[in-house]
Amino acid sequence: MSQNHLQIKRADVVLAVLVLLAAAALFLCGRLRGYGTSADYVIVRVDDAEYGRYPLSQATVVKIETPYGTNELTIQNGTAYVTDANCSGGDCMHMSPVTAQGGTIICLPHHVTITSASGNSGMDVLAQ
Amino acid sequence: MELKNNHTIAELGLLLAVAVILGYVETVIPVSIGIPGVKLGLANCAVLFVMVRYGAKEAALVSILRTVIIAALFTNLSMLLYSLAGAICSIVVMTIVCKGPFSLYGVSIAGGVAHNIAQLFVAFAVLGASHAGVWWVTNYLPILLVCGLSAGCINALIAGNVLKKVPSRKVTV
Repeated sequence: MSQNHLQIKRADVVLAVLVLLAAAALFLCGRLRGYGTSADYVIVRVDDAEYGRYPLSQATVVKIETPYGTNELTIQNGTAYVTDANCSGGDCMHMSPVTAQGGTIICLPHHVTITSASGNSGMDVLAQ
Repeated sequence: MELKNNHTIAELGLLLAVAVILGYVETVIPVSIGIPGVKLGLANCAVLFVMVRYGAKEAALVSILRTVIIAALFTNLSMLLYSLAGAICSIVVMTIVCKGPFSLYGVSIAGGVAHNIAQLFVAFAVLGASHAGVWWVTNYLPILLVCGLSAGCINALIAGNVLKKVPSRKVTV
C-alpha cells in the first residue's frame, strides 16, 4: 500500500465493480429461476431436519421448540413471521415475513430456518 | 512474531481495547436492517489501523483476540464460530490483498467481503444447506456482498483518517 492510504486506485475500483457484478449476477439468477413465486405453505426446519409445515392460508401461532431455544411463528393474512424468540439478538423478529411471493426467515442461534414452499407434497397431510 | 519493545506491546494492547470497545458499541446500538449477520464491523477499523502501522501478524493477533473477547464478554458464545471464521478469513484475505496494488479501500472491501462469505459457509455448515441452498446463494449472498463492500468502504474511510491524525511513533528505545 502507498503512503496515502485513501488514494483510490484503479485496482480498488475493479474490485468493487467485480463484487457488485457478482452480486447482481447471483441476484438475477435467483430471479430467473422464479424461485418461490407462488408458495402456499411454509416449512420450518431445525438443524436441517423438518420440524413442520404450515399453510399460509390458515392463521396460526406455532411454538418452535429447539434444543437451543424457542421461537414463536405467527401466520396471519397469508404472511408468516417470527413474533417471539428467546435469543439475545432477536434478528429473526426483524426479518421480512415469508409470503406467497417467497422469503426466508433464519434464526442462527436456534438453527431454525423458515422457508416458503409450493406444490403438492405434504399438502395431503395438512388438509383438515 | 516480533514484538520489538514494550511500547509496541502497550500500543497493541491499547488498540485491542479499542477494537473490543468498538465491537461492544455495535452490540449496544445494533444497526439492524432486517438481515441477520449484517453489521458495520467497526472493530475492523482498529484491525486496519494495526495492519498499516504494525503489520499483518500484529493485525491477525488483534483481530482474533478481539473476536474471542467480544464473544466472551458481550455476545452469545455460540456465535463465536461465526465471528471467528469471519475474522480469520478476513485477515488472511487482507494480508494477501495488502501486498497488491490496492489502497486501504481495496484491502478493507476484500476483508469485508471475505468475512461475510466465511460466515455464510459457517451458516451452511450449522444449518445445513440442502433445503434452502439456492436461496442462500441467490438471495442472501448478493446482500452480503453489497454489505461487505459498503462496510469495507466506510471502515477504510474511518481507519484512513485516523491513520492521518495519529502520528506514528518515532521514539526508539
